[in-house]
Amino acid sequence: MKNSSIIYFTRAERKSLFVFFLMASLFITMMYAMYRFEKTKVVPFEKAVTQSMGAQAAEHHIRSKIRIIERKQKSIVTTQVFQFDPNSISEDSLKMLGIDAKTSRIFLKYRSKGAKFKSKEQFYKVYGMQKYQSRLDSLLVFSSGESKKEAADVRAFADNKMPENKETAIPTVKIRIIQINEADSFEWQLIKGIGEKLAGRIVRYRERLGGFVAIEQLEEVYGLRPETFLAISHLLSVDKGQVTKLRINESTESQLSGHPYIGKKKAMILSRYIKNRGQLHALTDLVASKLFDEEEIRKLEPYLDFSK
Amino acid sequence: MIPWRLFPYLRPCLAIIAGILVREFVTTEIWIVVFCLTLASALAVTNDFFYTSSVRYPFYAGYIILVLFFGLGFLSHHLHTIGLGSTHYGHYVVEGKEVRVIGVIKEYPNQRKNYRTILDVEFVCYDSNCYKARNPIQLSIGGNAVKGYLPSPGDRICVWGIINKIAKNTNPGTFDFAQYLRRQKITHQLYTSNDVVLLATYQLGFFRQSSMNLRNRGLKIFEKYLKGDPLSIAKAMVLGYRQDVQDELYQSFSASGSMHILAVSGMHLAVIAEILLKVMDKLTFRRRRTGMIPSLFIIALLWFFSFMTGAESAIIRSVLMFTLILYGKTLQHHHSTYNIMAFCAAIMLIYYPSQLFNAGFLFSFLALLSLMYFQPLVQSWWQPSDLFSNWIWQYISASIAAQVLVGPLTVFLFNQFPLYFVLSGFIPVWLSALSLKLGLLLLAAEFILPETNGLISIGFEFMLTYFIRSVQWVESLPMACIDDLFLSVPEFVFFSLATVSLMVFVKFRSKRLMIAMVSFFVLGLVWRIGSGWSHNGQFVLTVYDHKKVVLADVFMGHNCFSYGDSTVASSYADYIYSAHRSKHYIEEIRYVRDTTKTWVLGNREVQSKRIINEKFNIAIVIEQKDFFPDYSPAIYLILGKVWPPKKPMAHPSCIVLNALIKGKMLEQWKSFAAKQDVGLYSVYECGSIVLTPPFKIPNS
Repeated sequence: MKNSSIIYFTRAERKSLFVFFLMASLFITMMYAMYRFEKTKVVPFEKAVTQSMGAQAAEHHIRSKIRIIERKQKSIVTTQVFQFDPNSISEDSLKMLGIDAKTSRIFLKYRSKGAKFKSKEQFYKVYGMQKYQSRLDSLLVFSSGESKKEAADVRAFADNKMPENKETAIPTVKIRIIQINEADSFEWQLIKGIGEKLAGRIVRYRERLGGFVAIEQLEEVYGLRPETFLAISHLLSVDKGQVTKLRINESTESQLSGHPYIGKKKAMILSRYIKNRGQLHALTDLVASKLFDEEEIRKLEPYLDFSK
Repeated sequence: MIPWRLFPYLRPCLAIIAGILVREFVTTEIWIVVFCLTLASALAVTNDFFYTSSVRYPFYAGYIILVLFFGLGFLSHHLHTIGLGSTHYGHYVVEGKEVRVIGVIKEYPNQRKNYRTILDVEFVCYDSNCYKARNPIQLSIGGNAVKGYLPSPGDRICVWGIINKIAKNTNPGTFDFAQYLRRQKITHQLYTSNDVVLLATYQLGFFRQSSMNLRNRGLKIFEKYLKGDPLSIAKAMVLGYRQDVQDELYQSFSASGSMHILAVSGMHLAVIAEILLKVMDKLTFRRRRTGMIPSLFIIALLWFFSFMTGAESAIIRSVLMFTLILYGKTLQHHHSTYNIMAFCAAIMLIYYPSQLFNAGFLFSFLALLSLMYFQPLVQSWWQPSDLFSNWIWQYISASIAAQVLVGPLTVFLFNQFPLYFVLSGFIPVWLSALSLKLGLLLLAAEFILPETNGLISIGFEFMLTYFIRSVQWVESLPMACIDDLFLSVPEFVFFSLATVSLMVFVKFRSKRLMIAMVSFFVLGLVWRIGSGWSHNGQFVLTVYDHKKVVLADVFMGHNCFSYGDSTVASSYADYIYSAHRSKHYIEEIRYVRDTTKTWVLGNREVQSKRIINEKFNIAIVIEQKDFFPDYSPAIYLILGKVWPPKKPMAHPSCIVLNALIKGKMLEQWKSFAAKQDVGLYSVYECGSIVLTPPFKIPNS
C-alpha cells in the first residue's frame, strides 16, 4: 500500500477522524432529537405574552400589552350589523360592515360612474361583493326616490350621526354633548357622577396634556372610575384640532417633565439626548432613542411637534 | 498526484460533499444508508479498537472511514431537509385564517421592500390559544404599521395577519427563491399592514445582541459623517449592511467583478487581523505573535466582528480558519492550510449542509483554494526587479489566480463574466483596502478621540468616492461584462477541469496534463455543439408564469416565436425567459404582436395567429374571434384575456390558459372544459408549462 493512496490513513489520523465523526454524529443526533421529539405545547395567550415579555415584566404591563393587542386586532376585524342602502352608503360604513378595502373601492368607483342599485342581484354583480352575500343579504335596503331622506338617515345612523330631520328622527331625550377639550370645570359638574374635585382634576390634566385626542384618555384622570366613564362616554365628544402640541426640540426640561406621558426622569434623559445628538426630526428619531416603548410612543405621537 | 497524506481531512470532506450531493440529487431509501453506516461503524470500531498492532487493515479502514463520512454528509443533509420538526409553525397554519404570531426579529428589515425581515417564530396563536412553534418566517410590514415603530433585530413582537406559503418559482431555468428560503427552514410568509406590538427588546442573546448593538452604533457613526453612495458603501463594506446600496450601484459592482469587495469576506478579515496583530504586538512588546492571551483576545474580537457583520458563510469560513491557524501558531503546531480549510468545510457542512448550494460558500472556498494553489504559480511568471512593479504584479497575479476556479462558477451561476477582472482586482481592491482601514479608524476614533473624526471622515469619504468611481469606470469600459453566457452542468464541469488542467500544466509541464486539458476542452466543446445540434428539430411551447403580463414562446428549431407582452422590454420579463431560451439554443427571436397577421415560417408565409408546421397545428387565441378554427388544432394556447366560447368547440382540444386568466374567468373555463371533456391547464394555478409533442397536458 502506497502512503499516497487515497484510502490510506495512519492510526493517528484514523483516531482523530473517528473522534471527529463521533462528535459530529452526536451533534446531528441531538439536533434531530430536539426537533423531532419536541411535543406540541398549547398555552393560553396571556401566558405566551408573559413568557415573551420575560419573567421580570410587571403584571400590569403584561395586561396592558394583551389589552393593546386585542383592541388593535378587534378594531380591524370587528364588524357591525345595520341595514343600509347601497345607493347611499359611505366608505366608512362599508368598512364597519366588514367589507374589505379593495371591494369597497371597486364598489364606490362603480357607483361614482352613475350606477344605481335597484335589486340585490345588481348589488352582488360588483366584483368581490358576492363573497359577502350571506352576511349582507338581510341588511340590504333599496330606497325609492321618495325615501331618500330615510336613506340618508340610515346612512347617518350607520355613520354614528344623529338624523338631521327632526321629524323623522327617533324621539329621544334631549341631551347635552360636552366637548371635552372646551368644557370648563362648571360644565363637567353638570354630568352626573362628576363632582367639583374630579372636574378640577380633569381640567388640570387636560392642560398638562395639551388637550385630549380621544375620549378614552379621560380614564387616565385619577379618581374617574371605569363605570362612571362608561356611563358618561356617550355624552362626550372630542375635537382633536384643539390639541396644543409640544415643541419637543425647543422645550425645556421642566416643560417636558410637565407632560403626563413623559415624566420627570424621561424628560431629563430626553433633553440630554437632544443636547448630545442634535434635534429630533421625526418620530422615528424618538423611536430610535429607545426611551419610550411602543405604547408610549403611540400615546405621545399626537402631542409632538418636531419643527425647529 | 495529489499528496493526500498532507491533508488528512480533505478526503473525509470530499466524502461529506459526495453524501450531500447524493442526498440532494439521488432518490435513495434512507434505511439503506443507515444500514451501511451502522455496518461501517461496527467494522471501524472492531478494526481500530479490538485488533492490536499485529493485525491491521489500514486499507480496509480507509474505505470504512470514507463510507462513514459519506453517510455523515448524507444523514446530515437528510435530517436538515426533513427536519422541520413537529413544532414547525407551518403545522399550525390554517389557510385564509388570521393568526397572531409572537417572535423575535432576526435581521435588519429591508426598508425598500416593505420592511421585509426574518422573524423567529415562538408562538402561533388562534383566539386565546397559543401553540409553541419554531423556525423562521418571512415577515413584511406594510401600510402604517411602521409609522410609530421601527423594527430592529432583537425585538420580540406580536403581529397578526394571514400566513401564506411562499410560492415556488415555476419558470424554467430561473432561480428558485422558495427553495432557497426553504433551505433556511423558511416556508411561509406573513404580510401585515396592521400594527405591530413590541413586547420586549434585546432578545437575541448576549453575544449576538451586543454585536448588533455595536453595529447599530457603527451605522449611526457613519451616518453622522457621510452621505449618499459613500455612506451606503461604507455601511456595506465595513459593517456588512447592504440594504442601502442602490440597485444601479450594485449592478456596477456585479458587472465590474468587484462584488467580493462589497460582501464582508476574508479580505476584510485579513485587514482587521493584520491591524489587531500589529496593535497587540505593540501593546505586549512581543516580537513573536504567539502569546496565548493576545491570540485569544484577537480571536474573540474577530468572532465578534463576524457576528456584527451578519455571520455569512464567507466571513465564518475566514474567521474559523484564522482561529485554527492562530491556535496552531500559538502552540507552535505544524499545520497545513489546505488541511485546515478542509476541516473548516467539513464542520460548516455538517452544521448546515445546505450551504453547499450557497453561492457565497462556494465562492469563498474556491477563491481561497485558487489563490493558495495558483497565485505562487502566476506570480512566478514575472519577477520584476523594482518594488512598485512587484507590488502591482501581486494584485494582478492574485486576480488571475482567483479566476481559475471562480470564473467558470461565475458563468455557471450568474451567466456573466467580467472581462476586466484584472483591473477590478487591482485599483478597486487597493482603494477598498485603504477605505476599510480608514472606516475602522473612524469607528475606533469615535470612541477614543472623536475630535479627530472630522479629518478622518474627509479622507474616508474621498477614498470611498474614488473607490466607487473606479468601479464605475471599469464597468463603463467597452465589453466590460459578457452577458447571456449559459453553461449546462456537463459543460461547466468540462470547462472547469480544462481551466484547472491548463494551470496545473503550466506548473508541472506534464504531457498527461496537456492531454487532459485538451481532452476536457474538446469534450466541453463537443457537448455544446452536440446539444445545439440536438435542438435543430425541436418544437417546444412554453407559457411562462407572470401574473401581470402574458409571456409565451414557441421554439421551432433555433427560432423562437414570442407571443404576448414578452415583446415589451422589461428586466423581470427578460430574467424569466432568457435562461430558458439560451438552454434551447435559440438564435433568432421573432416577436409576434396581436396585430401581426403575416409572418414567415421557414420558406412560407403564414397568415394566421395559429402556428402550423408539417406535423402540428397550434391555435393561439388572443381574441374571442380566434376560436372555431376550420380544422382541428392539437392544442389551444389561450394567450389573451378571453372568456370561454359560448358554443361548444367544433374540434375539442386540450387548453392551456395564461396566468392572467383567474377568478370568475378561470371558473368559467373550468366548467367549459369539464363540459367538453378536454384537458385544461391553468398557469395561474399551476405555474409555467413547457410542452413538447405529443401535447399531453398534465392533470392540473
